[in-house]
Amino acid sequence: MAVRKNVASLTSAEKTALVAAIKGLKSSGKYNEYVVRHVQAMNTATPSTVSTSVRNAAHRGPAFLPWHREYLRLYELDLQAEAGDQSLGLPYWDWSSDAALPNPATAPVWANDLMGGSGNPVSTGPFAYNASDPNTWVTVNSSGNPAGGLRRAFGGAPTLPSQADVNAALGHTPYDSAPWHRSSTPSFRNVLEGWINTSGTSGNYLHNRVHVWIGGDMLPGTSPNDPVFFLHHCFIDKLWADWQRQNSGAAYAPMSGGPQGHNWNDQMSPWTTTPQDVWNHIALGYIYDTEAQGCRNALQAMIDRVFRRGQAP
Amino acid sequence: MPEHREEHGGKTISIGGDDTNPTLTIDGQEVEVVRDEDVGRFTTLHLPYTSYETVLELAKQVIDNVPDFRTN
Repeated sequence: MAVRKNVASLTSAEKTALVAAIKGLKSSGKYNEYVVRHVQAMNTATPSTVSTSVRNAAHRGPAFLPWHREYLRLYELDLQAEAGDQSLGLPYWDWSSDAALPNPATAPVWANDLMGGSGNPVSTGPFAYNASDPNTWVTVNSSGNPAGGLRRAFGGAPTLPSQADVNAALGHTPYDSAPWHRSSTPSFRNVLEGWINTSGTSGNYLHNRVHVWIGGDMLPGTSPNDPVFFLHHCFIDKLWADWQRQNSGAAYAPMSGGPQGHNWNDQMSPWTTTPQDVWNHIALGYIYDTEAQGCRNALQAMIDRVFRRGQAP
Repeated sequence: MPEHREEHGGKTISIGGDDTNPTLTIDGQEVEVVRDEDVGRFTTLHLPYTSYETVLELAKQVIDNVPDFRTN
C-alpha cells in the first residue's frame, strides 16, 4: 500500500527518489505518453456530437475526478516500477496552505530539490532547461514532438485558492448534476474542477485557478509537461477522497442516463476502467497520509481503552 | 467586427467575425474560439482552464504557451 504524503513533509531521500523516477520515465519515453494521453482525452468529445469545449472524456463533466484518479494511479505505478519501490507514493501539493504564505513562490514545492521555480524557460531545479545538456527536461507538443524548455509564469491568477475555498467545497453536495458540464450546479465536481464556486457563480476557482496561477506550460492541454501537474492533481484526488469520507452517503452521479463516458458504469476513454472501478481509492492500492494518521489514532485509542480496562479502577 | 491583424511572437494573428461568433487564425491556422455567455469572455480548448476578456489576449496566450503554436 503506497502512502501519498504532503510534499512539504518529504525527506531529502524521498525527494531525490521521486525526481529520479520522474526523470527515468522521461528518458524511457513513458512520461511523454502521459502528456499526449491527456491532450487526446481533451480532444475526445463526450458524446461525440458535442464540442470538446462543452465536455470531453476527462474534463467539464462527471468523469473529471475518476478519469484523473485512474490516470494518476497508472503514473504512480510507473514511478514505482522505475524506482523499484512499490511503496513509493505520489506526493500531493497542498496549495491551499501555500496560499496563506506571504509569497507562495517560496513554498517548499518550488525549491531546487523538487520542482524548481518560475521562468521562461525554468532555470532552477531538476526540470530546468539547459540547451547544452542532452538529458535536459524538454516539453512536447500534442503530437509528442519536442517543444523546448519548461515554462512557468507564477501569478497568472492573483492568488492560489484558500483553505476557506477548500472547506466550502468539501461541504458541497451532490457529486454532480445535469446538464453534466461546466454550468452544472449544485455540483461538487464542478466546484472542485473550478468552473463555479459554491454559490454557483462562474469564474476561475480551485483546480482551474491553480493551473492559471502557475501559468506557462500548465495552461494548455499538454499541462502534464510540467511535473507539478501530477502533484496538483494528487491534491485534487485527495480532496475528492476527503469529500467521500465527509459525505459518506453521497453517491456518484450520474448512475445512468448521462453523457457517454461519464456514467457510473461507462468506460472512460481510452481505458476500460469505469468510475465505479475507482470510487474506492484504497482498493486501488494507495492511501493518503492523513488517512493513515487517522487509522493510527483509532488503533491507539483502541489500545488505550483495552489497557485501561485491564487496570484496577 | 472588422478584421484585425497583428504580429506577436513572430506569428500573425488574424481576428474576424463578431463578438458572438469570432474567428481566429494564427499564421493561417484556424483556432476555435467560443464566447462563454455565462461570463461574457472568450475560451479555446487550446487553453482549457480559463477564459479571456478579448480574442486578441487569448491569441497572444496561445502563441506564448501552447507548444503547438509557440516559437521555441
